[in-house]
Amino acid sequence: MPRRPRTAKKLAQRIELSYFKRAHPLRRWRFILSATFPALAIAWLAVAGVSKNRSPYSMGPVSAPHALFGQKCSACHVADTVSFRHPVTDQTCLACHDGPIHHADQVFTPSCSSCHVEHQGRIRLIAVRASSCTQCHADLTTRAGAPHFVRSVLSFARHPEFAPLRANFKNPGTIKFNHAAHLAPNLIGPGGQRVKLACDDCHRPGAPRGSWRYGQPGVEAVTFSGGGQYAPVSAAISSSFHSSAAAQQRVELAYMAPSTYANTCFSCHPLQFDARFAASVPHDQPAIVHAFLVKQFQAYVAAHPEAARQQAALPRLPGMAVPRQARVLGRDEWVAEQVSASEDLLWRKTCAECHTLTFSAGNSLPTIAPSRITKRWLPHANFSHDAHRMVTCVSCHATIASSQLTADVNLPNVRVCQECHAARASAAPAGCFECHTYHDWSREKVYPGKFSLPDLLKSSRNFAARPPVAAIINR
Amino acid sequence: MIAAAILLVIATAIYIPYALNSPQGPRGGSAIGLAFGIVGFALMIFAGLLGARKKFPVWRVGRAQTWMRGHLWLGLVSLPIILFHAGFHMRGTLTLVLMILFFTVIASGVFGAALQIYIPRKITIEVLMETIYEQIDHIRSQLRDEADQLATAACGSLDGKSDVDTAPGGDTSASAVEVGVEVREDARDLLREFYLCRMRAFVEDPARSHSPLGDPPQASGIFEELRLRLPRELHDTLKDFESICDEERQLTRQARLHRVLHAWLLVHVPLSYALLALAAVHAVMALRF
Repeated sequence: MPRRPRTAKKLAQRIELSYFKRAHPLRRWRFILSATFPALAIAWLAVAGVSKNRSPYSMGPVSAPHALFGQKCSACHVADTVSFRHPVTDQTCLACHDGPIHHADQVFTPSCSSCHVEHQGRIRLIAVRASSCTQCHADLTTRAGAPHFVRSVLSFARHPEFAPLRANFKNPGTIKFNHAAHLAPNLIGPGGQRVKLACDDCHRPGAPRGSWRYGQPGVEAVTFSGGGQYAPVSAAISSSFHSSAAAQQRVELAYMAPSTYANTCFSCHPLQFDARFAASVPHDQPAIVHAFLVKQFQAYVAAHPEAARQQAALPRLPGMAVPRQARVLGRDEWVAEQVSASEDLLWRKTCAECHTLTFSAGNSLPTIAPSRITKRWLPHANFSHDAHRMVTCVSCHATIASSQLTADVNLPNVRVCQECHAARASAAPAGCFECHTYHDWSREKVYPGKFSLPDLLKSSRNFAARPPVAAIINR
Repeated sequence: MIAAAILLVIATAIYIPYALNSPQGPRGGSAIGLAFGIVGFALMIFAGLLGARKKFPVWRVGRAQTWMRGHLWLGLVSLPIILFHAGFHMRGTLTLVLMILFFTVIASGVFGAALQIYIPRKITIEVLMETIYEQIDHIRSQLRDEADQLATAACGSLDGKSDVDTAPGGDTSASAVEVGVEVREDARDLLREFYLCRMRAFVEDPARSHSPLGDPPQASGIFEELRLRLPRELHDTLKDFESICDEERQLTRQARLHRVLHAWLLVHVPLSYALLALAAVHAVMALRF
């Protein structure tokens, strides 16, 4: 039987009644730490404040083009005279670079910083989110009433079909061209040899990458740099290339050079007009062709006077032997006759094979319809063939091998693009800005700089550890 | 809890369309983002006021239990609301520090809340002789005195020079000391040696002594052995010694559990104050820029 009974009285006697007056270690440490931690936090900010270091308050590094004055908060955060706020206003942005409006009929103009969000690291500021665009284009309204464009575009997944592929679109081109025939094997090529054409025999990005296989020797490659009111390909593509040469090269590689006779047709489709001449007529307007023919025949008859006196074949009647009759023509008559015969060959067959010619009364020369070959099918969007060079041509232009008509538009449809460009982690980006440009850069105004280099360098606290200015500018 | 759940549902219902339709994603500086920030900061301040409520228990501002529940649930809801405010981003040094502090405070709070459920039950079950934590040292000294008295009564003077029949100071009531027990000298010496060499260090400071008496099975074995070796007349004293050792072990266990139960507050409370201080600075500077 234990002799230490645990009664309430005994337990009460053991209690030291003034125990709460002593600071217990746990409580003491809690008090010390509760005073120390906030004090350390405030001290950190105080030290930063004294040393004029605003980085604790920065929401992150600024974008690469603004990196040089990333430490100079006042460059963008301008003091509001009314309150203590230092917001970034549109005027601050517009002091250095223009931001032309999107469209004259737009009903809403977002602030610069609502789309181009800074302090998100070394990002491209032009890479705005799709929601920047869909805040208007989800339900497009304009000052002019019904919008000219599709009213509702919510994302690339719901992007409407490209305009040239819609039912009411008509290909403006007038050149008679059959892709299927040209992609057939065993075509008769230069010198009668059999050839098989490849896409890049006729379609190449603008920058010259060697001579054209079937082009006219000595003819420079034609380049095409995009253009278009809302699709300044140079602005979009060159944004990551401050070097103008590199940017220009990327721009020229973006679009296919226009197919011209000199670059693509010359070798297989010579413009011969007479067996006595090795030269072909120039691929030019009828008046120039006519002048060329006159000149050629005049030179020929001067060198061969007997040609004007030769027997000429008279028109043959069916069932009769051909009567031969010697004719003696003047040189001019002979030239006119020969030119007329050659032109008849050219206008009726050679030229008409590709071109549409119209003859009018009172004019001996035909009128050739403008070719109107579309250089850029999607003038409101940027596209770079160079960026897609890892895929074969027919994987996107799948209809090309069966295309027989000029009216065919062999653009890949939007679903082809959507197969790769989608809003999933493993897909290529599908943001609006990937193809479209908001600002109408054709209206851009150039602003003079407002910073001095010493100011910028002074504001850049870690400048010594950074690359030279030239390297930053040319990056 | 219901209020917190309603608040969370409303906040989520606002956030989802806001996040989907914001041109550049959800941002703290937008109107809705600021609203989330204000609500979140208000909830943090409310959670922080629990400390003040505890300091002044006589204030008639609601029951302490209500405050604690509000602290727990509204403090927990402040996490998603602050994440909605930040758009689930942590850009910038100050905001990163704030988020780290916030997550640490919330995590330590959840951990502490879980401990508050688990540990008290464990103490109730394992520590039958629970006392006020701050009294443990005081009671330990009383136990040591009591053990000294028992040992002196049974063995005579603890230095072994002379035998006494009564406890030191003449106190014969407190510990039911056996007086005038006829016991062999060698048995007294054995008990004295056990007490002085093994038990007293344990009674004085159980944690540092690393004594086998701190382990119940080992202690039971030791006392069982002593009972075999000592005459029956000393068995009651042994039983008292065993009882004292058991109480010491329970006090040690209580102290350990108490430290576990409250140590998280050393993280939770100081970081909460630091968080509130920095959040206030963040609010001012964010509005400024």
